[in-house]
Amino acid sequence: MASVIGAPAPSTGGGGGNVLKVGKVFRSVVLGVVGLFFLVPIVSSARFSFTGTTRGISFSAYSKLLSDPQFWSTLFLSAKIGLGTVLLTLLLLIPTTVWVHWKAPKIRRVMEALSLLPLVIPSVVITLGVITSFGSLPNIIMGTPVILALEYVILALPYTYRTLDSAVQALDIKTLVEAGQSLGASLRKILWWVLLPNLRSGVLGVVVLAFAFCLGEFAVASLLSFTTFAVYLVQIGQTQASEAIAFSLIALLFTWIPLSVVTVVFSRRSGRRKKGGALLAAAQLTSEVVDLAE
Amino acid sequence: MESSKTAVKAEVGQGDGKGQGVSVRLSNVKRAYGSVLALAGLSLEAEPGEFVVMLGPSGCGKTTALRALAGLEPIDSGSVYVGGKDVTRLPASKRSIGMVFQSYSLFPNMTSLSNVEFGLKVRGISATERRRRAHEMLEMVGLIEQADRYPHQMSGGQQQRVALARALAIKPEVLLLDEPLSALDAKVRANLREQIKQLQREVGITTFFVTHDQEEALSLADRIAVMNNGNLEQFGTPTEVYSAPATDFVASFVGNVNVFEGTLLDKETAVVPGVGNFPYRQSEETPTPGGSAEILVRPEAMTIRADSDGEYLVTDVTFLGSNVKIKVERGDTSFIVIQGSSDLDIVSLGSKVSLEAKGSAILVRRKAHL
Repeated sequence: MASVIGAPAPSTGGGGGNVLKVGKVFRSVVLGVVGLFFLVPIVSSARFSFTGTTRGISFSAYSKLLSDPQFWSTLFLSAKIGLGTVLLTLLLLIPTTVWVHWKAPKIRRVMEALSLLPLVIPSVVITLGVITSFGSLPNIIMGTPVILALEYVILALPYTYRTLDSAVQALDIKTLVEAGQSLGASLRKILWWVLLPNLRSGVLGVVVLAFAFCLGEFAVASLLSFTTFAVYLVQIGQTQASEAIAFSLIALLFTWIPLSVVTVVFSRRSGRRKKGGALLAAAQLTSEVVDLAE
Repeated sequence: MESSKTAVKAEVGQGDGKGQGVSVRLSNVKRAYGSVLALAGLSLEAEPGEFVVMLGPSGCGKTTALRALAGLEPIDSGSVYVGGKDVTRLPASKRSIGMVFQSYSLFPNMTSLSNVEFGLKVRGISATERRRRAHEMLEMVGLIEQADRYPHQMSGGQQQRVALARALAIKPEVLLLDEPLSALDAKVRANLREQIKQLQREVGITTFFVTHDQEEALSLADRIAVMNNGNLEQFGTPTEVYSAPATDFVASFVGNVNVFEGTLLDKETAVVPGVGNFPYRQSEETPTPGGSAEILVRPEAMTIRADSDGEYLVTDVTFLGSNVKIKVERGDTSFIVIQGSSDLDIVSLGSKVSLEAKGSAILVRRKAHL
């Protein structure tokens, strides 16, 4: 045994060290490339929004945009639609997801598959289907942004359902509900006092994702002839390049600020397990923002 | 502080000592999952303040019975009575039954104190009163120092003690414990088992405890309900269940048992050739005297002695502290004998020994039963 202690390190150890170093370098390179992929368009856009085609720095694109009443009205419209979508999504998804985990865990796979359908069916097809199928609905729904909110609830499902599903899965819903019941609590109280506080990370993830989706969605809004934030961005982009880029960056701020708030809240209040929701939200939101900037 | 502790104990279980709880009766309760019968007409009655342990292998229906009693599991037919009142149709939240679950069931977003307060908050008790009571309950389970801790900051044993305090805080009429110790390590398990037993004795609440651990059942219960395939095999005191099992299943499930072939001398004595006479009691399965029978004997109802002409070969010796478990074989059949550790030197692996009767047979049945 003593000879083993004094023996030189086996040659494989050196090889392992090299592999580790190569792995570390590879990771850094991949991170660097991905970082550049995200940062270069944003930095270039920011630069262009301040300089335009001239050499000097100017805030004119921003001041012009911020003084444009249609900018605010479209932002307000998208925010209203986003708020409605968020509320409807939460009202629909929280009880459904909890119920599926509590009473019908066997249909989780079916629910997952259903929630992914909007990714498989093109938005155009869904929109045409909505127009054809629900054309007879009263004008209070069909002719107003309410129809957009209803559609966005469905279109955002692939992101919102999975986020909430992961959060619910991390809890032992059945035991918590039954413990609450045995202590005399109604389902409403159990949901409000026990489940929702423990699903906070998932719920916040859903809020951010649904809102960001509404802010960035163009195809359906355009097809249904609503001038939302994203539709207006495209309209401006056709004639005013600097303003369009400034528009994108402002949109970026509108989505990144709540995301940052949520992420900070998550990292302070949640353990590592719950950060999955925030990370998923961050990844999805980044994709939305990039879509919007494009 | 002792006086407040006594006061709490007096409030819980509607009384201040054993015998002050309420009676519980399950009457012909049936529950099926598709074609699987989880409860095949279960009937049993617990006396007020009694500690009933439901014992059986996995899937025998013991947890289903407990959940049916709690109102967490719908039943297909039958009735559940608590304190003489039919609660069959009452939802779980209206039954006044406290429950401690197998998995940790504390609410993760609440401290120990808030968890214990929860049931009181639901009942609309004032913040001051529920805080006072929650403190007392935590003190009762010895966790007052952990009042401000969240579940993830406590050990499994501590969490289950808080869960127990939470269940008792609402002054339930009945306490149900669904394998509350199964996730804990051996030492914590033994300590908490003692603590639960002591608390139950002091509080006097009628308690049902589900386990598949026979040692746990024997040490905790006033009476044990042994279940198998949704049926109640036997409902009796630990001594009755161990020493006078009602069925083959109980005999083989609770403790070790040796099966000898022998004859019945008369209605009281069975003879195992080469071992000796075992007193026995009559049961439905007992054949008529004079004929051959299978005689079931506990390992401690025999003694072993070194014998170079003996028929039994020692194949394994396990030291258990104060006792030694010796496995012997004759032909293809194995037998187990428990001896005091002081007798360890009379046996060695591979040596020949003989067995001698020193106790009673627990069951005598017709041959070729197994």
